[in-house]
Amino acid sequence: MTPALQTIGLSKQFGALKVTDQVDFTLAPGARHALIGPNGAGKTTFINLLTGRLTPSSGQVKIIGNEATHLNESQRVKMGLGRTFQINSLFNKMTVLDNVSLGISERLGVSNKLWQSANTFTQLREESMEILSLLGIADIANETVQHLPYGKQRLVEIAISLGLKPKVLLLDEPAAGVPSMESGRILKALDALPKDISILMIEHDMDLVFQFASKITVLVQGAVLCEGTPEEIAKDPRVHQVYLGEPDE
Amino acid sequence: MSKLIGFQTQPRIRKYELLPWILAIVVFFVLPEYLSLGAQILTYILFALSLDLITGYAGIVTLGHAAFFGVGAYTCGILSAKFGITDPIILLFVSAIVCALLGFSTGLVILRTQKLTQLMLTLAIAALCFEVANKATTITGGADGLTGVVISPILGMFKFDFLNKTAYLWCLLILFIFWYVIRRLIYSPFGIALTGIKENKQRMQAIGVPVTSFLLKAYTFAAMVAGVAGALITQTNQFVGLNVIGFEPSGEILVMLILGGVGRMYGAFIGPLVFLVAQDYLAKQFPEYWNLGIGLMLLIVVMFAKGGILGVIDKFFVKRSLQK
Repeated sequence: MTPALQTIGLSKQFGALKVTDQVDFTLAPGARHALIGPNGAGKTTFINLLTGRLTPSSGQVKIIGNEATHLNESQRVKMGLGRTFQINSLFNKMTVLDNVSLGISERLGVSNKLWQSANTFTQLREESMEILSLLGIADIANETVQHLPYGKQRLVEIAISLGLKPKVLLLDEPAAGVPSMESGRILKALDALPKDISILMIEHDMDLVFQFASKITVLVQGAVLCEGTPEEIAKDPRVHQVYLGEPDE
Repeated sequence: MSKLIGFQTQPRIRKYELLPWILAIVVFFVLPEYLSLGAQILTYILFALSLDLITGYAGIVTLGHAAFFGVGAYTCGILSAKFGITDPIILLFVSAIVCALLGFSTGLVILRTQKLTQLMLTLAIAALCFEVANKATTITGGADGLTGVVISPILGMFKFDFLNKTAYLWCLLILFIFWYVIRRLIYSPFGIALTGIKENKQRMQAIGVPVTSFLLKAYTFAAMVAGVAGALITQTNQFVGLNVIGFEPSGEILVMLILGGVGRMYGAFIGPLVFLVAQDYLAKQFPEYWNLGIGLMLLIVVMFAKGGILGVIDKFFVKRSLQK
């Protein structure tokens, strides 16, 4: 089967600093895949290379088998690549419903309409409400985002990306900044996502990673250290060394 | 703070939105000696409205919007004075096209940048336009201004009279048309997308919106509207001076918009009205110090009235509805 997302020899250099180093990575269709690594391992840079925010120094990015290396961010979204942000990137003064509708409106080609009044596109509201119900936040649809607690804002962050009907979804630390009591709620929301979406998650919260992912890739200093099932990764001595350090020999 | 327009907002025209038009018609009958000032105010409202669309809604910072106002005014003036094209509708039309083209081509450059860089670039473009108008004296009249502008009657029927009755109604009609168009635009999905870009450009890109191309559309349209406003001022005054182009009027229109309230459409109505009436009054009472009065007024608004005059009115009504 065609991989949902693939990189071949992907590299990014800032001057002499290699932030992403020859990464060959494959995301299987329908995968629940996690990308972990210590601080500064280049996880966010990797995500930015995937989404088109950054252009690689060399290498290739393929989205569902199609060459995407030289496409910009919005073109990649049109190919089915959605993302969430590590730090909330929302429309703070708008309602939750409008936050989600904006993305749907772009996907349906409605956002080009200059003359017809926005409230006549009732499909936007229906689709938005479906997504909010799926994530269990339909009750806050009409609230302004800036007045919401952070945990709920994190869910809005995911809701916006779902509005794009992505085939591939990149979750950049979905539980970042959420108190540990509430991270269960995020996990519940993630579990509810349609199974045909291929998901790559970056996360620091290891509990969340091990509950969510069926495959884990460990990134260290911009390069892939190892890859495997959660059990394999948990046992791998190299991973322990990176995370916990080993006494000097 | 009034709510942003969203996908659920009802677009029906509210009663208070009729106020400006009723007022404008009352003024026509009650204050015939002020129609010259009135026509000028209507033109500046149109100019401010075009600025509000790109600054208030789309979040483009500009200190050079009068480049379009000025080029519109000069296009109209030069075509009439040097080429003998005197039909007011054709003149509006050509000025609109010229300014749309100018907006599109400069927009290609400035919309790639942000914040201070963007501000500087818009300023530079306005300054360039000013220098051209200043130095190309054979066609623009330079610092002496462009004289010999003749405007034919509208549709061959309505002559521009020296009491400015025709000019006033003409400006009112054009303003009304563009008010309606801009209002439609603001309530459309495109308008909401512009607000989205102002709120969070990064996220708009991440949901697949070609941000620069959206901004370019809005910028081109706003440039066109500013050009129409410029052409109107030429038709009213039958003269073009350097005061319509460059940094000074660009700053002035921004001040008027801030005075009225940014990003709420009717701020563009109130700002020019208050500013120009105050200027007219102060200039008569204190010919030497009128600028001081304007300065004080601005200081008060900036210090005590966040959101401009409309912001204060909003607060007043919110308070009253809370007391009830």
